[in-house]
Amino acid sequence: MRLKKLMKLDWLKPKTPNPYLPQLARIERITKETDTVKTFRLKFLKRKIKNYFVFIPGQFIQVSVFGIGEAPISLSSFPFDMEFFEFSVRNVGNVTNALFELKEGDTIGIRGPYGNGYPIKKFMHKNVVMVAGGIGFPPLKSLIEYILDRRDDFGDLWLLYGAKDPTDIVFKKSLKEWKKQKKFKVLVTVDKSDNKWKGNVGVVTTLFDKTKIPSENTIGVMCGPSIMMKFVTQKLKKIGFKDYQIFLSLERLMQCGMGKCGHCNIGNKYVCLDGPVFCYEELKGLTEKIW
Amino acid sequence: MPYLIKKNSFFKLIDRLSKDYEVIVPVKKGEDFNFQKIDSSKEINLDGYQNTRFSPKEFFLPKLETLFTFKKNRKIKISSNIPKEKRVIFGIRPCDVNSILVLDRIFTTNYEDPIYIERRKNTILIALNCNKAGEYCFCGSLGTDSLREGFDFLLTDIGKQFFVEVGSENGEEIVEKNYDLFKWTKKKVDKPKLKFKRKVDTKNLVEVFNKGYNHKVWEQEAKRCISCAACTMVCPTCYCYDVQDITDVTGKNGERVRNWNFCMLLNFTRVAGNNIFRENRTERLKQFVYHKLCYLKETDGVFLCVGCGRCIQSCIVDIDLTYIANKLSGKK
Repeated sequence: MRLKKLMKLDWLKPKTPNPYLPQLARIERITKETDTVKTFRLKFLKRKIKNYFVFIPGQFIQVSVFGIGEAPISLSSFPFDMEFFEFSVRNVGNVTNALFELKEGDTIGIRGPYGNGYPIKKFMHKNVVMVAGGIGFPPLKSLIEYILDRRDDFGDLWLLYGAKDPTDIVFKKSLKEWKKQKKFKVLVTVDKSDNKWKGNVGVVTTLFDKTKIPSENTIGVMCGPSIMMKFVTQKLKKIGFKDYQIFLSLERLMQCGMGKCGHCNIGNKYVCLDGPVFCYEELKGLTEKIW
Repeated sequence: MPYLIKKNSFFKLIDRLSKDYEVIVPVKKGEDFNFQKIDSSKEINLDGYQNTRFSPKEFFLPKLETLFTFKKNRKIKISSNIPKEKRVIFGIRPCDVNSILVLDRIFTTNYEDPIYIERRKNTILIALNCNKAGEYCFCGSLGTDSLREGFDFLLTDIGKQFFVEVGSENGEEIVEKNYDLFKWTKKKVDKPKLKFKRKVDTKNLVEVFNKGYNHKVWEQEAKRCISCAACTMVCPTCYCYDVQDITDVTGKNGERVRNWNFCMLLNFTRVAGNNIFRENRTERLKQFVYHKLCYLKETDGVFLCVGCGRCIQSCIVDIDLTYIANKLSGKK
């Protein structure tokens, strides 16, 4: 019932008079995942906003650091956590660099959630293969936490995660916990190993040889750099996945999140409205190339 | 109900309206007409007026506008006020009224944009039918040369008088208040027939475009393109914008603004990490033309192009939208 209500996006649309106004939120906790990745835990200042803020895994928010600007960032926490929400960023842009300067207790602005999120209904009673690359991991973390919350509605799970090197692995605590779960295979690989690393080495597609993934009744979900998604899609298709079984998240510049500013236009789609999660079947028909 | 109004009386009406409204009229400067605020109807001179160089979109979507202001002290304070200025735009051509109708569609669907809507509500459009087609016009092909809705008044120049059609309640109200100036008429004046130099075959245009993504005409035209974005700047339906923060020296007081940005520019698709999705000019030219003539037609059933021809007029290397479209559909 709760999910049904959630899938209706109308209900989630912000009802502020001016949709560009961000809601203020306080940084409750900052976790350093790696040298370049931090996780921010946030709480809205206004209780009314806090109580209404629910999202679907895969959706994103517009994070404002006042004076610097806004950036679209995926949510990474459990979607029904009423107390707080989290996102993880790497310091690569103006806004993320400004976020790295902030301390616990500072206030930032939040707009959203925007985008469609994962069509979880389509994933139910199916096996789910999740492929994460680098900083594309956060939205999948949210999805995993959702799935683990209602474990009986889903089949077997796989998480294939590729990082640059062992120091670049994020969400180590969560990975450890997930490895204990039944019917959930967690495989991690690094592109470049160091002396201490004993795990897999190689790009994320090499992990497909380490485990047997059935193509029937299985959904492939991925998020990461476009070059990675390109090869993972090819790999999944080789295994026998059909186009409608593959879901991917596209990255584009999004400045309004409301299908107006035009930056995320790709073919006749707007990534901020029709995405960021797309079924590969929808993207195939686009005139413009996606990677 | 149609009316007739003498030109002198019409200028009187403009003067009366200017008490409550900002009056915006095409004004000649150098060789070009452009929409500008005037103080008295004496400044109106439409000799040789075909259409303005810049489109009237800036009165609904300004080049730079504040979305909200913020103050960062101990606490952050945000305040926004939605603009309330009232305007009359006279002399706007049917193609441009159609372009505003397309913008309405964009800014009222999915998420409503209250700033745009407020401006739109507070603007009276007095459209003026064309008596002859301009050199670059191709509105006839797109069906945007005639108007059925969207205007408050639609005038047709018939010598010493204007034939007036009223298209909205606001318009009716103005007629009622200034009834001494209008003369009720039974006879209907048809819109003058226009002859166009440029034509586009809009039949199956979406299929033509979907097939023609790798047509050689793209490379051939884009070779000349210098990515100056003039086409997108003058286009009445190009609505893309950037959202940015501007602060004072202390960085504590500032505002979030939106300003025009154009898909023709390299930075338009640049994301963090310096990844640019449309790196070469051909792709950017394609994005512009596809957005105008294909994408919105596919999803919403209307063209994002109204055939005003401003992009052709302003292009300094003579890239022609109609030429590309016709090449793709195999004409000429």
